[in-house]
Amino acid sequence: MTGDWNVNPPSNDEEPIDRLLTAWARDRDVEVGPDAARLAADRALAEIHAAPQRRWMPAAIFGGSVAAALGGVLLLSPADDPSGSGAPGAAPGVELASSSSSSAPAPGAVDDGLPRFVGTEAALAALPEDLPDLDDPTDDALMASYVFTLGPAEEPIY
Amino acid sequence: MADVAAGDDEAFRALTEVLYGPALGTAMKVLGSRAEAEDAVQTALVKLWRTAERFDPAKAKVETWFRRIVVNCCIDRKRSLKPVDPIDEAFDLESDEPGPEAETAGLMRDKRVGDAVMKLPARQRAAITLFYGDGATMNEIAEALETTPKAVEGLLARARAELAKMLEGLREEL
Repeated sequence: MTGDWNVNPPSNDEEPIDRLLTAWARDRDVEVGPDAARLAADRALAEIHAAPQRRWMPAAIFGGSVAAALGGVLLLSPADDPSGSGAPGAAPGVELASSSSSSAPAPGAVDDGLPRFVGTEAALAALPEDLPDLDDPTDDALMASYVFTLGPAEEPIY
Repeated sequence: MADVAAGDDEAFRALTEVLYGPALGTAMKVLGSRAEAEDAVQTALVKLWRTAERFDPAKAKVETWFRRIVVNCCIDRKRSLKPVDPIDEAFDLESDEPGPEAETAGLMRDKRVGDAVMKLPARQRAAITLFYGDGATMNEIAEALETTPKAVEGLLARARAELAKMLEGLREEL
């Protein structure tokens, strides 16, 4: 099969070197099997259709790694609230008191049998005495790395 | 081509039937090896599919568009491969005796020209192939090589001068 793309004679002077190069460049008798083009097309299509799946692989691996790392951080963090109420320092079963709350039930409150906050005295009694100061570093895994990082003065000299 | 851009596998197969042979011929001229040429055309076919939606029939024919992709794939491939001289290259170039693969004077001459062209940088080789083989214009070659027509003129002039020097011995045969 010969290449027949825009075949026009070169427009420069026909010197021997040009004749040589033209003869060489136009000799494109390439043996192409009857199914070669179809096989090439099928191979290309297989690669094209497989590629989107492969493109997701790095993203999936990266996403999985990040999720695993976050999971590890959460597991290693000491729980501030064993009850899981989300309120640091709050005792189990005690909701945080607001400044407007009182021991008397609110007007119109419905007694549905659910455990409810009954008064500020009980809540205060249940709170730990040494509440963490706002200036204290938070006690989590990220800060642990901060705590255990050697300062410049502690760096070993080799 | 519009069907290919729309993701039609059968249209892609039909287009490949038309483009494959000429593309392989060009790639073989630029790369000098059938195996490498087949790989380059394979890569070019995948690129053709992926860039099909950017094809503008008002600007170029499909063949010209694909030729540009093929030449680029050949040059990229040549950049990524270490140059390896064929085992018999030095022997054949230095010897005036026809080898077993070149039984006629014409074949021998073409082989010597081919060997000389293979010593050129890939971009010069591509420019020579497109200019002399395809009759491509400076603009078309510049587009294929992603450069300017002026730069193509320089590429061709350097390649031609270098080849004229290398093929001095063939001058008497013409």
